[in-house]
Amino acid sequence: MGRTAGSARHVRDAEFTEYVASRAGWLRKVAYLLCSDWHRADDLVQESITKLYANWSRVGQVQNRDGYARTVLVNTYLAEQRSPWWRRIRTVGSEPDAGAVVAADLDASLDLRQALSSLPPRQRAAVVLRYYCDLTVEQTADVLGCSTGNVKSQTSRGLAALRRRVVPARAGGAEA
Amino acid sequence: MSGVRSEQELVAGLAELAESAAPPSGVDVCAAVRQGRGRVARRRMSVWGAAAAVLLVCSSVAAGTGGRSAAPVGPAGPGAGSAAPSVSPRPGTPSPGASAPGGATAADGFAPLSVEADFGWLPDSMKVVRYSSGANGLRVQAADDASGQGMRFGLAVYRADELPPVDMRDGTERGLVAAAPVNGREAFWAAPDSTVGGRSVLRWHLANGRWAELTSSAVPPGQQATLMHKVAEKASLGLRPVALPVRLTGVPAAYAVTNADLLRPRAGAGDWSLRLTFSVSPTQSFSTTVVPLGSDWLPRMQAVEGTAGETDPAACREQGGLMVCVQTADRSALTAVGGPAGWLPHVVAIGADPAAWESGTV
Repeated sequence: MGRTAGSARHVRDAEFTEYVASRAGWLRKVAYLLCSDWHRADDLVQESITKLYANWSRVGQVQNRDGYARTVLVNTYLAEQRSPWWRRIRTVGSEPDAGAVVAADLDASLDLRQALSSLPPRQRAAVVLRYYCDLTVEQTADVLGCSTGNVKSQTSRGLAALRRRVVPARAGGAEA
Repeated sequence: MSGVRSEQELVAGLAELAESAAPPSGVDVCAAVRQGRGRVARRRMSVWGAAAAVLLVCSSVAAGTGGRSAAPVGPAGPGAGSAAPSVSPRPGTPSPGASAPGGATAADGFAPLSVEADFGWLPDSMKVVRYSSGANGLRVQAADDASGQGMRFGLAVYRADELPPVDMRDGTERGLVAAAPVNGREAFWAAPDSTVGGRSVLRWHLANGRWAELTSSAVPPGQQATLMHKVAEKASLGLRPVALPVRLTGVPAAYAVTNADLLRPRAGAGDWSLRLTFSVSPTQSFSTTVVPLGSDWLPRMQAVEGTAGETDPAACREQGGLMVCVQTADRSALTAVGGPAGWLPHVVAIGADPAAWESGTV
């Protein structure tokens, strides 16, 4: 019996390792878009895959394993944001006056990263899920555990904030 | 990416951002397995503990003692007990056995970051190394560029009481494929033919009975055995402090380094970053990030005092060519040193040149 249990565990470990090896890079990118910091992205992914391992029997029963992993990652990120440690953390310069824009001569990716960082966590998660993970409104609502209306409003506000804060570099803001 | 005027531009911008230069990944699958096993075990014990408690209560009721038993029904099993987590001393703990109040300070020169192995030789293409310690153990990694997408090596030593996991796929044990000895010690391939990213794992038995493990990814086909063995045989083993760009002085004895992460060029100049996370109490912690001035890896997060929008100008300080930042949301975590502004002088810059960095004592 012990041998059977041990074999089952080895099989489980092998499946898990293979899955994570093939998905860690993708999860890391999603995590980075959520938190804007590669170190924290690693921490988020590490915690998420540890949770995945602890619930691997359940993961094996779901049809969309990637979706499950992504949901764990997003929930881990949102839970961290709710924790006291992060509650009062904000991005430097993340509270610009309404209508203020990031300097147009900065690198566009940096602009976008800073602008993303300024979004409230759920808005940022909604934007990343909709526009990077290419999820539908319904799928995003499933991940975030909210209504489709809430996703639409979060996404709309997030997009509006990004438009205010990131402007076309070549136009110096004139085209915005 | 010229802006986010349209949704299409946002899609393109996010994709571009996700592909931007990144440090080598610190994600450790084996550590997730080890920790995940622990969580599963604790969960099971917790369930059994709860069941035992229920059984005990039921037994008491059946015996007529009810819930007013003179002997309280206490926590049962390892899953119960005090809810307060403990902070175990780690190599980065300033002062072993210190029970002095928060104001007491440890001796200077302790090593916030130590590892149990280091690379003695790597292929020339390896440009970046990463040293880390924390909940996932002590790790050393090397990569051929900062994106972490190319060839990579990882080095670790298992604890004395820890056996490496066995890789089994399709019910077949793949963990005991004999490999050529490493420095005369028996060695095995744990994943010699993985189709996922060309991952290989070489383990060898050390003279002290522990297992060392070298992992690799994306090594060119046909070179895995040769390169892995050379890297393994040249590896330096044994606990050693890692040279850092800063020195910590006057750190309160109660402050323990719970996580440390250094990313640096393997040799010569280049971007690097250091992050140290300190535990002050079971519920309080703060981090200190150090990067060279002008680095793009500087975290965008800084501490905010009080309500949203009020940034703390004391959270970062330029010092000797370095940018030193402290991140905390709980001011009381830094009370013993006078807040973020009081903490920063405890972090003394050595310089941006890795050749001049110092290592403390373990």
